[in-house]
Amino acid sequence: MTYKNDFYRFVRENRRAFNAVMPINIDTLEDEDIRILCNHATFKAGEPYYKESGGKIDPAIIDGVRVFFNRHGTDSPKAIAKAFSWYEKGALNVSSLKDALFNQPSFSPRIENYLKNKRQENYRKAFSDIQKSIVNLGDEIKKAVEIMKSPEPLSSKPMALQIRAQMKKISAALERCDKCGRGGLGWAHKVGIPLEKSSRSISQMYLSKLPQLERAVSKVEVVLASQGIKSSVSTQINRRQFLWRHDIQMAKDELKSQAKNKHKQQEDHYAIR
Amino acid sequence: MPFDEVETPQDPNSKEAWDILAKNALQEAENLNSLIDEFSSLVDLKIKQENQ
Repeated sequence: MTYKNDFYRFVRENRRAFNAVMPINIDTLEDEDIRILCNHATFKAGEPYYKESGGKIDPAIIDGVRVFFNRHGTDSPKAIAKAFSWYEKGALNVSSLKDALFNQPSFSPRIENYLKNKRQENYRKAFSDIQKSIVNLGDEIKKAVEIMKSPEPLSSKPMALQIRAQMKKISAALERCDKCGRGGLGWAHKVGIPLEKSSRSISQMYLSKLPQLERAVSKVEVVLASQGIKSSVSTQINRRQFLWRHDIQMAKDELKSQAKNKHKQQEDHYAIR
Repeated sequence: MPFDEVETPQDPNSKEAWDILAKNALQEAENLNSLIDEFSSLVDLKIKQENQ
């Protein structure tokens, strides 16, 4: 499709300028999104896409990418819904979304409420997913506890196979925990909510016990290995700890960096107008 | 959540609702920790018995 190719070319050739006004990850856009942007943006194939005057970006570009929101009228559910669909797909970041919506003088506080509720809804869902995954992991460990209570020696073949199967389930539950937990933290960060005390506490509690779980699993694996039964669950637990710690550190660093850059962003924000 | 229904504050977003959610999640995390302790002790016990 021509418009799609043109749009990609437009973004590619003007990436810096484009990102400065509305950072969009074009890989996440669907044809329909691109069509809307192309129809409403000022750029047209074959025409200069943007020009610079005195080192500042032509306001036409800013108007172009925003005109969609104006075109549909203020408080338009259609415009908001579209903005949110881009936002939730990761095509717009939160500051772009705010920029696109709040800088319209006639947008009402209703939109602020909508944004607030939507953020809360998403964060609450992510939080609830963390809780569910922790419960699920607990259930699998509870089953492993029951198996370990059996009078059968750990080195007996049936017992060894049974505990290995259960450890694999623990690993799968950890994978889910990993996904929800890291996803939850990611959401908190993405929507601009600082890591809440409770969320941080959960992460700390979860992380503080993983090394103990890893050591226990590793001891079982030594016994299994002596029976010629392979298992790599302890390695997987170790890997997940690393990923969690890395994600939490990244989120913390980015929050710090965001705070530091806030003033500079505001300056840039006004400089391009 | 339909756009037209968001004018009035929603209960699930109240501080109270958040506190309950956080409290439950923390409780589950504590339960998980107890289970890991129990599993760990049982593993040690079992291995000790094997070595005797």
